[in-house]
Amino acid sequence: MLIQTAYNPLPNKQACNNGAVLMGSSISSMCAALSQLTHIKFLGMANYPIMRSTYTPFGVTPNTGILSTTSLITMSKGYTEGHKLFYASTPISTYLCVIVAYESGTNDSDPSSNTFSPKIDIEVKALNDSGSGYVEVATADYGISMDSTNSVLLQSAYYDAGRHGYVHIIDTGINIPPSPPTNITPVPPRPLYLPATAGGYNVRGEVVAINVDAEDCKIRHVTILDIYTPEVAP
Amino acid sequence: MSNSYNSSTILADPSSVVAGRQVDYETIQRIANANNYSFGVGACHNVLSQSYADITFIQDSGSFTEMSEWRIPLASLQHSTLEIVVNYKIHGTAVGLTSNIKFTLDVDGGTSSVTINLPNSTNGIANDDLAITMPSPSATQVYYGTLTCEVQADAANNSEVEIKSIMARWKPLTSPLSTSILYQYDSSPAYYPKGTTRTGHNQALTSRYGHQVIDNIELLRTRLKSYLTWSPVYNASSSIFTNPQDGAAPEVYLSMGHINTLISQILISNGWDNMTNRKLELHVRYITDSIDKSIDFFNNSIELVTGAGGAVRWDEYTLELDYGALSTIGDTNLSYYTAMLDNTDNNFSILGNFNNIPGVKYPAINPSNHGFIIGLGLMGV
Repeated sequence: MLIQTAYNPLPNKQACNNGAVLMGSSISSMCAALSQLTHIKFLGMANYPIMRSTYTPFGVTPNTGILSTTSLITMSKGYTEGHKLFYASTPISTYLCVIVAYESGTNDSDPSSNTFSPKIDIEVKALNDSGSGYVEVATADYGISMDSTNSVLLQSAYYDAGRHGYVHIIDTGINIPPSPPTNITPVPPRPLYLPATAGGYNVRGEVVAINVDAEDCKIRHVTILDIYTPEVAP
Repeated sequence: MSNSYNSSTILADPSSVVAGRQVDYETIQRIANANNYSFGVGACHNVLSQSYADITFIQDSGSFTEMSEWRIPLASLQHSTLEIVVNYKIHGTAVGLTSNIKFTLDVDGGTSSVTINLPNSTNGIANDDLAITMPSPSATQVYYGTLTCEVQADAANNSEVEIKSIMARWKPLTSPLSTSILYQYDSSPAYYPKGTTRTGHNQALTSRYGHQVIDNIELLRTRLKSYLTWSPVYNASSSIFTNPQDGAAPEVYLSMGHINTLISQILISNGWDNMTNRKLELHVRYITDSIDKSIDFFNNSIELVTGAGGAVRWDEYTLELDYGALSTIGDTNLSYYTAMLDNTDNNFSILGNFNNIPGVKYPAINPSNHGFIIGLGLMGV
């Protein structure tokens, strides 16, 4: 069945009164409205801002609490960082789109090399709490590796020295593969997959860890969202 | 079972009741199932999401020290357990249960807190549930909570706590839902759970079923989701990283560096314009100024509350949409729009920047930081 994306007009409630002839279209309208709730409005998502240091060598004081673009670009080639982002999936979460905003290095910070090679790896880990807190117990998806070789915009960029932050935005795409991925090392960008279970532990409907590892760039923001599937078997 | 839901049978096929097809009474049962699922599970994904790089969120004090504060939407007045998960690192070696993070939730004046111990780890995960007694439903909507975070370290052993990410979500209601009337944000309209045993029988239903299903759908469409939760870290302290280049130099004020980079993707479905309820709201934590100030967010000019300078307060502002100007990402299958601070002269002048550096850092307050923003929350339907 098709999942409508819009808030459709609901039927007149009088159509449901005792003695009234209840037409199939009224029921159909309720079905469509509910599928919009379960499969559109209540899809999971998370918007993660990544806080960065406000240190700047250019200010009056080096620690102002004020974030400027220039405070972010002190990066040398080979710089790495990692983020463990928790995502509360829904019982019907299956494929995730991840949108990443990042700043890559500038030539100013590494005069010996003006070619940074930004790379971002993303994987999904299943979590289990056996009573003493969550532990990563299995790999739900070995995930993806985004770099400049797989047709993804990840080139180095000069920052806008003017007045505001400048980020590249990259995403995994929304094209759901014909079958669940089976890779055991990161592959070129594709939606991340949440199996029903991994290693015998439930994944869907549970909190999972989205591990984002970056090299030659700094992550500023990550959005994770359930991908809408237009046609679903009822 | 009565009022139950099963996530594998929540889709009722709209075409199963059209002319030419045999009417399937399971359709009615699935409508009930989807009703219950939506109320119990809907919007129980992340309500708080924030991550920290560069050792920005760090504390060396042996006493609980307030670090951050957020505004989060409620799922309903029935969802009363907030699950909180933290990724952290202990610098040095703490002894005993001395490294802790404490969360306090305030909903309409009622508070509850949970303290989560952080055992020694370089990349640990800690989690716990914060249970709160929700207020009784009334005519006034209660739709958000204010969550405050405090941290303490094992100062006696020179150990420090670094927080790397924080996430919170409302725990879904378990199946079956309670047999009583349930409440979302106020006393009316209420939510009526649907019995899936009765709707599984091949017998006629009364008008009550149809009326309540339609009422339930209208109510659930107004449930809020969290789109952005940003709080500064305003009491960072480290004896290990004494040079701010190395750590303990977090964001304290909303600044020019957040323009175009503090991003949230929000879902605006067709039909949104015709809704008359609360739809999209920006919550701003602000140090008041006696001078009128505004910020530009998502193509909205927001006039911040003016008053005697130096008071810290949260205020709520309704946002409108300019469809022509607000989409910046590619194909996501659904109509997501990018909400963020606009790149305007006004924002450049009011937000923190090199020409506008306060002489003190919050929680210290003096005239130099009047008019600065120290928290943002975006929630919508």
